[in-house]
Amino acid sequence: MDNSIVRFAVYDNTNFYKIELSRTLLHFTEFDFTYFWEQCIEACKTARKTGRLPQNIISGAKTVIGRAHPYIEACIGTDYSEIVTDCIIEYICHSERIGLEELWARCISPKNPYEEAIFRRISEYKANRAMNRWTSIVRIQEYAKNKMSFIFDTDDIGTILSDSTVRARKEYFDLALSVAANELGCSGNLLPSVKLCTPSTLPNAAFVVGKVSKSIYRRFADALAEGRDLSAMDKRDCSKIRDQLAMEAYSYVKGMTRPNEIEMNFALEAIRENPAELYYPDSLKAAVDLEFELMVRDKIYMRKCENCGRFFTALDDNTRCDRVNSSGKTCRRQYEELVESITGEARGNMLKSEESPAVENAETANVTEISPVSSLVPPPEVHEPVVVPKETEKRAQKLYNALYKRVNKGIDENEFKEWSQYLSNMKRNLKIGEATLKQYEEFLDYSDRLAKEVKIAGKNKTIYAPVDKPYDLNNSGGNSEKTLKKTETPSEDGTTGEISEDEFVEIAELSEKIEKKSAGKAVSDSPKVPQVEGAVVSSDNVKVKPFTPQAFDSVFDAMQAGNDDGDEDISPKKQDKHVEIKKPKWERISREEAFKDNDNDDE
Amino acid sequence: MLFINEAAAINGLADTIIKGGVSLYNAMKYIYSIAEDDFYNISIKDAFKVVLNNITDTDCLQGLGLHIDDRTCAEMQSEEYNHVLALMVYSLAVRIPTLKNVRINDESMTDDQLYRLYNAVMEKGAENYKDMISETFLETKYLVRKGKKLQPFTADWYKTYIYTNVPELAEITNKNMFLLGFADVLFAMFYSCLEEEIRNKMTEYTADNLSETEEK
Repeated sequence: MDNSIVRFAVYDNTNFYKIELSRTLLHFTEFDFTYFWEQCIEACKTARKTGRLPQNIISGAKTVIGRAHPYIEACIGTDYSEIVTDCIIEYICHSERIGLEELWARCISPKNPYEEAIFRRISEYKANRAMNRWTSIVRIQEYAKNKMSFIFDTDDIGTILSDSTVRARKEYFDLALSVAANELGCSGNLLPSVKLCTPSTLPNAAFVVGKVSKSIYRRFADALAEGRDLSAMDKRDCSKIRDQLAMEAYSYVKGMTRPNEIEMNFALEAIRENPAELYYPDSLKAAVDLEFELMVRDKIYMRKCENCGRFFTALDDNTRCDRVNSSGKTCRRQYEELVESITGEARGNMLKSEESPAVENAETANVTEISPVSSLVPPPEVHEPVVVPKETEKRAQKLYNALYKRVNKGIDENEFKEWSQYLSNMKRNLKIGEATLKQYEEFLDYSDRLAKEVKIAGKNKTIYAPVDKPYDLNNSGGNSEKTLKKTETPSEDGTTGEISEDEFVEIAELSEKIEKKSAGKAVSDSPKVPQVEGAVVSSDNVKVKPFTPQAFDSVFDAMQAGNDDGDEDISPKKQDKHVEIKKPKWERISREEAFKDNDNDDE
Repeated sequence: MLFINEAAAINGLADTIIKGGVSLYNAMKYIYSIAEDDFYNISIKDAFKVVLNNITDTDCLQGLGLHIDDRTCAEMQSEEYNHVLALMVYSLAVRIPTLKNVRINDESMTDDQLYRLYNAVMEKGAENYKDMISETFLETKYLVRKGKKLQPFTADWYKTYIYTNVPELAEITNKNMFLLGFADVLFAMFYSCLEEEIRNKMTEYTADNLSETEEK
């Protein structure tokens, strides 16, 4: 059985429910109750008109809230059966700014079932028979969030907490609650708790393991019929005489012998279906606390995502979550792509700087790690707005147009998006003074080179844009080893090495030259490149993307692809200049002439 | 007093008195059940508020989460105690002549109307079981005519009946002492509210829209 799943049972319910450690908690803390709240308001408005609570809306709302936590789902027919009424009461008190007492007095002579339901429910609050389950859920959600943050949040991003720290934090948090309760005079046994049981020791075991219980009852029915009725004890505080009660019950089955084999096998079959271990939380808070406890026990921790700031289950050292964010990608994937796009460029250039043999002789390649983006792009410390010259702005616009034109024809759409995102970030940083003009120009220089490479790649697909990593960089050639050691991040002892900006530019320029050279070679030697549709052709050291025919949106694109070297600005305005639209020459012909041609065709 | 439909008015008033008696009878049981499990959970003040706001609603205290059953009201489930209901209605019926003092549009109920109302209530089951109640209809009528002050409506006869006829409730227990304590207060307050309710009903029956009200 999966260790990250535990099962629990609740009062007045013979089913078992499961908690997926950390997942259930995350789901509960992030559950959006807005839809439930809206449903309840709608039910309230309908009830005011009709005098009755609309059952269809109520059942729908209950289904919605049941999804928040398995404990709520388990108790939706018992403890949480009136949750919609609770929410309506809260809504009325909130919207009309009245207290419970006033609302109760208003409904003291109920005129319809709706008022009666509200009156009954508030009476239950007053008599301590119930509480407002809706407000309770909201408060417990807040409690869970706070506890999660208290235990797992760290001051420094990326810090990994030790087991003892996590446990200490959890214990401290729980102890704080106990101290507060104690000081307020609330004894510990009144607070929520969880029992560890087996199906046969559950408080309602006779119903949970019903089939076996029936066969046992048949054996002792006569003796039990004459036994003392203990049902009155249910209403009294019997905490001090529990053993006495248990032994009184046991006295009726004391003489029990093992049943015959058939009956034992029957019991075996029935019991085998049930889980060996069951938790029995007596409230939602207890269920939430249980999950925290088991997470700490099994060392299932959470971490705050560096990108979105939400907690996620820490399965490895990654500091970003797998939630899909507004960009349509997960935070982790987004980060990885960013790393790939920047370091991939640097690495691609480095490999090419060793010329083609580096690719061909990559059998002896070393596996290298990619350095974090932050190490390649040092954070700027400028805080005054930077004025960008118009020429530079025009240059950026030209580059944008050039790359936009090549989307899916040399540069992948996602890569273009990343690049444009980087450009807009850079512009924003300039405005807020967190980047310098030099950095902006360096980025534009890099983009210039990228645009050229993309153009070449667009002409001949065998050489793809460098940002798309045409080579498997996990293995680098022997000749490039020296360079890699100098530039790439982890050294043998695991420490991270950094490259200087000058080195970066030098590598990039070098790679540009190599790429141009290899592009020319690729064009002339294109038949030599393996062309397998839909698969990556790879040798031990090289992975080349398969050749795919160049696709054009229009004839103009096809023409441009062949002869637009050096012409970078391909904005729509400029495109219009190249295309000359000539008026068609119409000649009026007679009807006879027209049909004459058709008749000849038929013949 | 001129009612639009006199027979309907008499019946309606008799019905209100009967329901009042039943309501008081049930209220005693419901409040008694508080002592079983909810002594510290349910405020007796809340119970009084509910009863006095719903004089003719015989089971209004169910809304407060109270239940009458063999466990919570075992002592009140005897045959002897059941006669209390007839006695309660009778105790209200003998006070019908006080309605003579209720004036609507400068009119009050005639002696004949009051007598017919009394008979209507008696016909529906009111009874002076074992002559537990010393007051009579004629006596009250005499006192009202003479303008003399009536004895307040108290639980004296109720307590006497319990001591002499229902030993389970006469026993000195926490629950029974609680019962005798709240009975005094409830009887007095209940009667006051019932008078108000009957006055409202009389106003209703003398109104022009009687037929419309009945239809509703």
